[in-house]
Amino acid sequence: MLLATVCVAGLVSAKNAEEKKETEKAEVPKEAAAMQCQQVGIFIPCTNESLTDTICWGEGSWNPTYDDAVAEESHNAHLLVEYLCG
Amino acid sequence: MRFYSFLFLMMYCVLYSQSDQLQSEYEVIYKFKMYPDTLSKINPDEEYLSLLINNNKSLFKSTQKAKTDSIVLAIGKQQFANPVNGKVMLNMEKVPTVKFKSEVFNDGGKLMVFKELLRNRFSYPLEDPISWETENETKIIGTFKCKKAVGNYKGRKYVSWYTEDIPIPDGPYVFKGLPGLVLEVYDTKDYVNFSMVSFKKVSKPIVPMKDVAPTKYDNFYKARQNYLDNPAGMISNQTGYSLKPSHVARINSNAKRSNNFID
Repeated sequence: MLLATVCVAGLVSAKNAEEKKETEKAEVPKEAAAMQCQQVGIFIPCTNESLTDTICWGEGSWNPTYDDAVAEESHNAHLLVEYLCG
Repeated sequence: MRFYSFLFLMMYCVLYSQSDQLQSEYEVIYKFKMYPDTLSKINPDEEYLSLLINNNKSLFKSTQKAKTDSIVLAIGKQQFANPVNGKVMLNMEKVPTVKFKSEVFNDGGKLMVFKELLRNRFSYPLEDPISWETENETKIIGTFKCKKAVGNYKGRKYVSWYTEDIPIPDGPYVFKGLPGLVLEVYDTKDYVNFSMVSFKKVSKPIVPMKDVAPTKYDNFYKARQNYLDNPAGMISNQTGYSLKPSHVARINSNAKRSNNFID
């Protein structure tokens, strides 16, 4: 029992130490990505027209990453179509 | 053998301690029907809503809501990854809309209401729970014998049918607190109706709405009034889109037709 406890404690401690090292590595500040932008069209089905918008991501924009900008724009487009087309 | 038993016990404890998410024991599905415009009793909103129950806790929400959020994201990612003639064209036409966006979390009889207003989310404690008056009238819903109760909520009179065959004091939305599960509830003017479709033993995670601004009902009401004063302006403000006058008129007209709030 004692041996098992020591082993498990040892493993947990070792894992924590590894995680700590990884965390320390991850804390090295990365160079912030420069802002990039992309033009996007939003189709309005009830009026059969499209609206043009620009999404931006990176330093100085609302969205840190491209994926954040895509998610933001997708939700905004859905919201607009919902309230515009009823 | 002892060693393996001990290891098994340790692993069980670790796994058990990590699965602290509340899981349902039962799920009740209700069909919701509501006329969004008080001036017109055509084209009612209809949706299936879920009540997940675990002992004295429950969560009431639309079954469509989480699906729609995922679909929006999936369609968005797919359309961004496949531009047409070099241009991304977002088409959200096929995304199913969510009619019932509110949620209610019941914690031992204390109700927390969650609301969505455009992209803002609010939560507030229910300060005026319904005071029910039970009556002698009975009727059968499915295989359950139900008793009648009446009560008022936000200016409307509601009739509720509950069954003591399922002694869970819960029900759809804020219609709870009777000595049995509410199987049907409607307002006396027939604008709003919840009726039970199924009652099953189901284990699903009970996860209330996240990223909400805690507030009081009065503040949510004011925020909604601000939106109703200028719907297109608020949508433009939240999305950053510049709207044409025809779009503004259309959004404002649609908003006027959605004037029947259950609250």
